[in-house]
Amino acid sequence: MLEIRDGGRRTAEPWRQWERMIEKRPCEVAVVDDDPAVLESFRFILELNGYQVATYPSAMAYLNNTKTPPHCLILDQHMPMMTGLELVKALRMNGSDIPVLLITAAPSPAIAARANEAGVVQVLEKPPAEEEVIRFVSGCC
Amino acid sequence: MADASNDYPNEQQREAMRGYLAAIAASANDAIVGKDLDGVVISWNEAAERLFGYTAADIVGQPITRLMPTERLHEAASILDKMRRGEPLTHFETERVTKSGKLIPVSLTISPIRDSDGKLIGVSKIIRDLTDSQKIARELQRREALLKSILDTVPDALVVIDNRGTIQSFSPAAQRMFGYSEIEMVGQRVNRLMPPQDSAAHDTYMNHYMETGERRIIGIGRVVLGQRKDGSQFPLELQVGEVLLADSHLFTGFMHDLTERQENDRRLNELQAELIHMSRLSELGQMVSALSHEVNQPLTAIANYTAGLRRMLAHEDAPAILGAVEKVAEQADRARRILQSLRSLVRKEARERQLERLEPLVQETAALALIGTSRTVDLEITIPPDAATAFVDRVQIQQVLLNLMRNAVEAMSNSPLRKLRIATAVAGSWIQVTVADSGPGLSGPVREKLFHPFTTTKSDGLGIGLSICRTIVEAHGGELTCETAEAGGTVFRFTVPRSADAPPVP
Repeated sequence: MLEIRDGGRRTAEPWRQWERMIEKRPCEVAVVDDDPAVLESFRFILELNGYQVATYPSAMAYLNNTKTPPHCLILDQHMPMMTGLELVKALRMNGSDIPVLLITAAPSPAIAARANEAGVVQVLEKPPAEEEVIRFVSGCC
Repeated sequence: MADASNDYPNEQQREAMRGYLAAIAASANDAIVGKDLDGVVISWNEAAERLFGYTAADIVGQPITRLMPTERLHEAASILDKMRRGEPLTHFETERVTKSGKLIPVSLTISPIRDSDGKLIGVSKIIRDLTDSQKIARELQRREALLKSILDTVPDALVVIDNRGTIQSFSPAAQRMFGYSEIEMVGQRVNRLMPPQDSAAHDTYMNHYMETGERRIIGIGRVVLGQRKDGSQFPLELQVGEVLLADSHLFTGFMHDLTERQENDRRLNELQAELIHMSRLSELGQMVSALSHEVNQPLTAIANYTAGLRRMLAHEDAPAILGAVEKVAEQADRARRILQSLRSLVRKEARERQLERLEPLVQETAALALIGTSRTVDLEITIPPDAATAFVDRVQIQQVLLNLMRNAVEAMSNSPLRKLRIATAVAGSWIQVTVADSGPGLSGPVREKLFHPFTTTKSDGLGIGLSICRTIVEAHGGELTCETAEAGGTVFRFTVPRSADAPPVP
């Protein structure tokens, strides 16, 4: 299981030796997914692209542990207790207009319609193409 | 009173006879009154005193009309006419007035009094008080009317037969049930109401009972087949009672038509079979869906890592490694496409959605969900008029409801309070359906993994029920969530489209 330390940040990952080659960007991305492997893999590609990444294993963990809001959110739709869309609705109710990328294993026009209604920027099917994820994030920073 | 004694020629004998008659009159229970042709009372016995309240001294010499209510005064003349014509009058029912003015029902038997020449000289009346017997008669009438109204209204048929199997009475419900009129059936053998194969057995039963007294059906009741006038047969529940009277031995048969009940049972069985069939069909689909969802997680991680690796290797001179990573990415993409095509296959299997009335849908499912529950469950279904229909696949949503309700019933099996509440409500362009139980609620760890396939708290469960439910609800574009109620118990809520144009259907 993933441990959340220091707002979800982890240090001393093996790929950090490439850090000197990575162009740092002053942009923070939060990823919420109940699957730890998925969560870590998003951290991997996002950090390789120079973004700061915070990961959360559930919508509640995100709501309870975010002090300053990130630039954008990558959300899994299919989570127990609170789905990705429910989190978006909760955030919108709190007045947040943070850009959201919703990732779902079972995409359907219905989900897309409801995501659009809730103000989600983009819906991608799992597994998403790296280029699409990076395009979304770069558009938010 | 001197009349009969005239038959005796000897004065002494006549005297003795008068004495006897006077003694009989004195001790009779009925009032015996004599009057002459002018209607004047000439004799008055003790029973007359008790009945009317006048002593002989009061009334002898007075007109008999004092005993008659005004509206019956005309009777005096017509009685006399009859006497003159020599017609006897027996058990003539009328009313008379007592000394205190009370009206009493009486029965009169009137005979002429003649002298030795046969000339009419007076009239003797035996007056019987009918107050008590009228009470009894009225009570009998009341009971008969009550019985008739009961027999007219109960849906159960009553047929009374004697010990030879001959029908004595055939109630209105029996007439409706079998299509025969009372006239057609009274006096007929009861066997006409049975299919031929049961008719012989019935005779054997009756003979057996009459000989041995051994009861096979009396007081027990059983389900038998009836046969209508048109020859059609139907199941009925028969309860037989026995009436033993001094002069007859009767059997009462109460019959309850089971056609409707069996029709309901059949409908439920059909529905259950349909659900089982559909759920087997869609279980395969749901398994594919659940599996693809689960496999998509590691695939996502693989895709992300390979994408990252390619980016990293772009800075290295390692074409062999890069080539291998490209192959991994290709294979991950292939696995993704396989899952995708499997999912679209499942989607094609999806049945037609239409506007469904929720009340029958919920009620039918509740009946199914409660089948085989040994303890009673307090069921409350609330479907307001504005949330009475939804645009759904009926069988799929019944499957969701069935799953949630059966879970709820199981969760409550050890609870003192067993209340299952199902309610619908409008939520924008959606209908929200709530299934709430009064069980112990779900523990935190269970709730977190609740919708994961292969998670179960049941010893005999597969753990895919809720995962399937969520897949179905999401296929409708809705959401399925779960919470523990403040008052305890678990509350599941799901949303389905209110109408066809709510969300686009996949």
